[in-house]
Amino acid sequence: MRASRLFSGVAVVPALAIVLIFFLLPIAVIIVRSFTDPEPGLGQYTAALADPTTLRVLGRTFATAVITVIVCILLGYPFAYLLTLVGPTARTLLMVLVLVLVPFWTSLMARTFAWISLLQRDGPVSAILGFFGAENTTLRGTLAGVVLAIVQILLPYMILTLYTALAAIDRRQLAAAQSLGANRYRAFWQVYLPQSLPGLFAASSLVFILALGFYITPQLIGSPKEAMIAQVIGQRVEKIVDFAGAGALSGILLIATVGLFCVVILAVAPLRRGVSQMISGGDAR
Amino acid sequence: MRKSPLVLVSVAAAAALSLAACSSGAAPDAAEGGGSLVFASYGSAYQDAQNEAFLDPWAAESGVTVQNDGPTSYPKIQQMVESGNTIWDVADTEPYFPVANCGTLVEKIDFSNIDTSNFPEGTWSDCSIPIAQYSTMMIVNTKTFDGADAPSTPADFFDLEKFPGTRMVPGWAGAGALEFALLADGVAPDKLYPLDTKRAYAKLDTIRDSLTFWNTSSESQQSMEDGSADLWLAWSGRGYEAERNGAEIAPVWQDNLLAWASLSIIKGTKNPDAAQSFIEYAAQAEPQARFAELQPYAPADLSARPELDELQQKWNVASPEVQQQSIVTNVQWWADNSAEAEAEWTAWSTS
Repeated sequence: MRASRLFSGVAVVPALAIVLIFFLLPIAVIIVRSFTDPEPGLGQYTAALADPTTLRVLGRTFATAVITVIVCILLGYPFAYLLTLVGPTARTLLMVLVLVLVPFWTSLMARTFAWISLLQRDGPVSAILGFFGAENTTLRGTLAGVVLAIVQILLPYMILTLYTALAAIDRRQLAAAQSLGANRYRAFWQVYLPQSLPGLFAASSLVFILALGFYITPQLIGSPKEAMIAQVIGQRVEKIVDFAGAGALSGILLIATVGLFCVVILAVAPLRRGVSQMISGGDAR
Repeated sequence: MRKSPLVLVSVAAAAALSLAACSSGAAPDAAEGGGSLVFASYGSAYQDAQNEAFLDPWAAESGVTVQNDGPTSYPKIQQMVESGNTIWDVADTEPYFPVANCGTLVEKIDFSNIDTSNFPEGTWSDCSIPIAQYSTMMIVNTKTFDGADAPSTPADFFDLEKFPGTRMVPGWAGAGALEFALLADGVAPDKLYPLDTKRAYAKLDTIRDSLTFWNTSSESQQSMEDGSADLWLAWSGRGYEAERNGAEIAPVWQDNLLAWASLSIIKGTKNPDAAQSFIEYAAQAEPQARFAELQPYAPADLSARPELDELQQKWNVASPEVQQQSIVTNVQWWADNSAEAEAEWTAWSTS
């Protein structure tokens, strides 16, 4: 046992080396450059933060990611819940056929281009909206169109992560709650939902972080009015060839994201403690 | 723990794949004998035609092995030069780039064997030669606007009352929207530079809600073919290709902004002789005429006489009546102001 543990410890080294060399090292180089070019100091950061464009686009990026997470929860939670109810055959079918894994295996680019055709002026989505009375509505070049395209790409991450968490919840507790007098609604709300919160938090974090980095989708589906921070960073590198300034923007995004997560984790910590106390406390008694 | 060998195999496979991926991106070895040249350009049919018109005949003549790469990327060029590992020898860039970076990111060209007398004034510099011309111009959707009532001037482009509809313009500063806005606002062509960008943005703001943007020229062509806008500010070559694919559009030549495909030698090239030799070849009328027959770009050498079909003639920016209405982009202004102008554009467009 010990030998094989050592073996798997060694086995992980190449993967770590790849992450270190091809991911962490370039990030470190860019961040170091943002503090040293053209002269050592915080100049790039104060310049970036003094630029109203940075703050506006950063704010919009976080807002777009939050909206994406909310829509993903509203669509993904019921779906993941349904997956825990049905039998294994139906579950496999739902996962593979119904919108989870099939789009997961299709290239992001191919799907984004498909959304351009669907959402553009006089496209199918306009026609459908027109049928329901919203005439001349073009979603391409709007926040709604961008969020729709991002949600469609990130929804599988929400559903798959959430399903793992929901599948671990013992559904007999719901029956127990009902036998103790709770109605179905209350049993779900007070027994099931709190236990699913850690999983929901993990899935939301994943979707939120992935959404923050979206580049191609808002670039192709949105107008510059929906531009997210990755596009502004890309613009700085490609058009202005300003690695240090782009590095500072990346640094600000990184710090803002980590900071936000610290706040969120601190905020949900009492909640999670409550959940575990509820469960373990119940056991003790 | 029985999974471990499987994990190891997959990790090893990933490592092997990534190593293979790196080695394929490394610098090519110099070919034996005639030497080698790496040419970077913007890909697709455009780069294919550059190979057919310029690189293949030159390589056959000189015995040099040519490799293609791309798309042209300024940060990549900067990284190559900074790291002292120049992989590209000759690159196709926007005209302002070699003027802004002459001697620092691109090499000075030896003009002793190059005849510049037939190039339009202002299209060549110490570090670049033009190989083809095109225009950033107004293009009209003839399904929306037809006959004598169609918009026909830059001022019409900005007149939402007379010509309601969506306008599509380039999504960055250096591609002509600022110049076009100022021309529409009544600035005389010879008074365009230095650009009054405040005034340009004020003019653009008057049609802001009807504006959409293209970031790659293929997006603009797609839009013309779909009819997803009513007026475009786009490249003549894309107009030609869109119409050839069935787009219902018409060119407007008044105040077209002349631009050109520009070749430069990257600083620190490992094949300076081959690069200089290729630049000398590409500056000639004969290969430029050949290129103009393959792609909707006119020769920069105005003495070249390509054989054009009817549609190519319709979109030919080298024809005398078009040249009379052309305004040559001032690359020196762009070389001096590109960074601020692009930052200002981002601030405007994202708000």
